[in-house]
Amino acid sequence: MFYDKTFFDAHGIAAPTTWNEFIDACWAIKDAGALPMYIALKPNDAQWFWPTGMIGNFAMRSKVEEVNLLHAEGWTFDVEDPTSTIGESITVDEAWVAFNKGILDPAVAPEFRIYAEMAKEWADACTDPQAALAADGNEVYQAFWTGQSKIFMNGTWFISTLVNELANLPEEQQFEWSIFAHPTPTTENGDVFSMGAINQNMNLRNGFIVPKGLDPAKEAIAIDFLRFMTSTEEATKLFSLNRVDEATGVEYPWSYDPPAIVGIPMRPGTEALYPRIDYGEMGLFLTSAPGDTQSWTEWLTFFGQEYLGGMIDIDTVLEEWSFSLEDGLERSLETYRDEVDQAFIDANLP
Amino acid sequence: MATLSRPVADAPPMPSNRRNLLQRIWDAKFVYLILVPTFVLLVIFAYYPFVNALYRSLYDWNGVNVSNYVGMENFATLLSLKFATVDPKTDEVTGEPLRDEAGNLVYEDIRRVMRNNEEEFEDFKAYTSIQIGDRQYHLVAKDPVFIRSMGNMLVFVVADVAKAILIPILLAVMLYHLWSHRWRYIFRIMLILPAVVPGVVYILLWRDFFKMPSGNQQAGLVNQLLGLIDPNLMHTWLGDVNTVIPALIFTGFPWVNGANTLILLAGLLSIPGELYDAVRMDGAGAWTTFRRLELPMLRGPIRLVLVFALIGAVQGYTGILIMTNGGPANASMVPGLWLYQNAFQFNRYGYASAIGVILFIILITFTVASQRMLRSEVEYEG
Repeated sequence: MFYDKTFFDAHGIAAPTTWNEFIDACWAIKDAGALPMYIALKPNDAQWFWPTGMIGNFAMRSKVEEVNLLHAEGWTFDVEDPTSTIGESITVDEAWVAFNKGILDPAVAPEFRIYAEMAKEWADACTDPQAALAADGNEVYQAFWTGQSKIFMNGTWFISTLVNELANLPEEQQFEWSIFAHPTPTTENGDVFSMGAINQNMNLRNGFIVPKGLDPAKEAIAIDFLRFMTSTEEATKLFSLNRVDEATGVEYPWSYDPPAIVGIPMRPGTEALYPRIDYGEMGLFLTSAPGDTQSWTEWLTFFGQEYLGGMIDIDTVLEEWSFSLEDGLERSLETYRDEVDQAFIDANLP
Repeated sequence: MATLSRPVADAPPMPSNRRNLLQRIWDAKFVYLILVPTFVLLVIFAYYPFVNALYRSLYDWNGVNVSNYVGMENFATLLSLKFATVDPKTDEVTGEPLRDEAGNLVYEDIRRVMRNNEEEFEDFKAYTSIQIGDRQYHLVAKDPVFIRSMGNMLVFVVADVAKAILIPILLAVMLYHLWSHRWRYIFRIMLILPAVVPGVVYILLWRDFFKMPSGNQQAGLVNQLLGLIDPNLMHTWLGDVNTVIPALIFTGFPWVNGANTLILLAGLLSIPGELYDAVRMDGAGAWTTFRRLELPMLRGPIRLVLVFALIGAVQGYTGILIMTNGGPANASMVPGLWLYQNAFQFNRYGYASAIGVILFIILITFTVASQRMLRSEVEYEG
């Protein structure tokens, strides 16, 4: 979370660490006559749906073992051990069973309602929902460096753009920026947030997949390539900071995200922007059905535009979410029919 | 054409009409040969995709591994509409209607009503509703976004046709009656110059014009002007489901269409001077001259402009994609954009093909109707 430190300091606002502190900070920014976050309720601005995965997965941690039924023999989930989820994933048939049991049904499962309430609280406190309905995702970057908004959620790849753009502004418009990790919900926000804290790097599941059933020769090539890409030497090159841009002369002393690959060191002399903290995580919180872009787009509309934009209430959005997810899962069952274990579904659903 | 025909001495006997036709084709073989590549490319890149789309519209096809024949199901989904009525909830004991704290009648949510009557309303979703007396009447559809997009399309067809004809006619007539030929020429250049500005730039500018002040950013031009009259008139025009369509129609104001104006001006320039002399001798004023002479003589160019405007309004979605992406909440969705989203975002190529087929039928209906209008009218020869 990038923020305008000059503005925060001038108004005595501290960088938040918890969700409630974040909401309070947003109201303080609004009280000071500024806009906390300029967002676009469209598919091309991740600021409003990015946290869904982080907060949603956090809220659902206690349900992981109930959903991941097709797990490896002897597998257990340990939130304090990120490696406990390696090799495990939620399949479409598991999601279908969990949905029909109500564990992943937004109209039934309490975690979805808690998240919907928090998201609305955030939209009201931190954004201008009406402007967000008309805005476009390609405007949100500029809104931050020109001072239109005071907080901007993005990846560390945004640093070089931000530094360059700020350097191009007249001196009186420049400001000191800094970052805070995405604020974490706590048990103040609900008992569902009792297992650890938010996983700001999402999880260790971002990465590379070699599909099952590849030709052995192709599989060997794929694995060889992945070993090369994740080797210490090559992976370190991906952290391209701690350098001087030859064209502009601007220095970049910061590191990108702390390396996620075990054994990859930070470059000498780099400064970590935040400590890396990981929890065991599974992608459980189903905004939409796996591999189904239609239910994802529908979610962006009814949750983002209609609900966060103030057109429908929480009961309606949870009903819509439930319908859309059910339809999407049915489509995904058809799309991935070759991988679906019908016997598993029949055995788990009466 | 006579230069292309010559008698062939040893041609076998055959019926004279047929022989003449084949003979003419043979004589003009090089012309036909030259046309072959054009038609081959046309068949490959225009007719084949079209025929394939017709075929694919009968399938549930995701473009990859799912391709199930579904017959007319895609069309049935697109066009399925039903009415549902919802009465107020009543107290189970007294049978009296229930009321909320504000005294309003309480109704079951239509989504829940449909869920509880799954046999009748399977796959249906809420579209719109009205209340008459104590009863709610809901229109539900299997694809309410498509139904909404068709309604929006009709609005845009009317608006776009009006914009494409009315202002250009006015401009063309004013230009035509300019005394100074030099100024007429200058104005023609000025009219066509904006056409060289890339359309995307134009659309992005208008998107900014509608902005509200936000943070340290000023309002867009439209809201700035409205703010001068009354700050309460400023509004998030593109972010409100009630104002997004009027705002999109207003886009481009004053709707000066240089190309259409020049087409209509060319039509005016082709009217023989004798006809103007005749109406002048009859004592006609400017309005009568326009209504009785110029408008009838412009029917041809008007129909041309009309057909282009219709096609653009039915098929077009680029501007809406950039300005609102069909939002908010699908309020500005049009069929072209829904087709695009189904194909390229949802991978529902079969379903998208069905939307394309429906658009094709609408367009062909418009085209045939306009052709019939053309045939039914008296043509004036210059």
